Amino acid sequence: MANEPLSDYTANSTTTNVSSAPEPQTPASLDVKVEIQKYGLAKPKRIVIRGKVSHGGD
Amino acid sequence: MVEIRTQRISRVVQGDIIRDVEQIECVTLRAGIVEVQKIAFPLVVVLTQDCDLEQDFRFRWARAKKPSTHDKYLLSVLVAPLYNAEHVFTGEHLSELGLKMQAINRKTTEGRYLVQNERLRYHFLDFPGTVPVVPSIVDFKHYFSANVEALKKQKREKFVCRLSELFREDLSVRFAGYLSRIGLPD
Repeated sequence: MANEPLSDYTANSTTTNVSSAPEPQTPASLDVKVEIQKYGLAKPKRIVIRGKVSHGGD
Repeated sequence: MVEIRTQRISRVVQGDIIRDVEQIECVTLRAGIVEVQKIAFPLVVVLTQDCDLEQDFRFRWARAKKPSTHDKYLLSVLVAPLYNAEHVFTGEHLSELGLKMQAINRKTTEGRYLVQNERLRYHFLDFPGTVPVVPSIVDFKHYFSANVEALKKQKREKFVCRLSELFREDLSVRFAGYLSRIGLPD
């Protein structure tokens, strides 16, 4: 649906009888950026985990 | 450009590219506090020989008849990190570990040789557009082992793709060649 041309929507809207309503403002083109996640962009990181050792009865 | 396979096989396969694999650097226990220090690598490639991985899988996970020995079991799987090529060229790929590496100008002979896999230490991998992986470089000085069962489990969620047979052989042979080089005195 998102890829349908805008002109189709405009054509459909003209078939309705809402003449007094202002024409909806439609952008000339859809400014949608689809970002494809790329693997391997990041750098290796060091992680340190610390925890208290439990001896059960403590 | 390398050829890849995207179908995930349940066992670990040579040439598998898996994301978010961690190398345990050290575990210390002091005054009742345990400290685990590890490095999280965004991508690694599996280097262990595929026949060894296949035998390990067959014997470890055999259902019908359990083998009488654990002779074919591996203790670990050898992997090498994949670094973002752009970071390698600037020498900044290990900056978050506090390490500064030598910058390589990709427009010079040195850089061009690297991209053509004519520098023994490095292996350049350029992936086809069908796989969302940035151009990457393996540094044959950097490798570590991962637990077999943990890596197999991790592969379920973190498998990215696998180098095709020809390209994994190329990587494997170049790695073995680098590892077995003879360092002569200057």
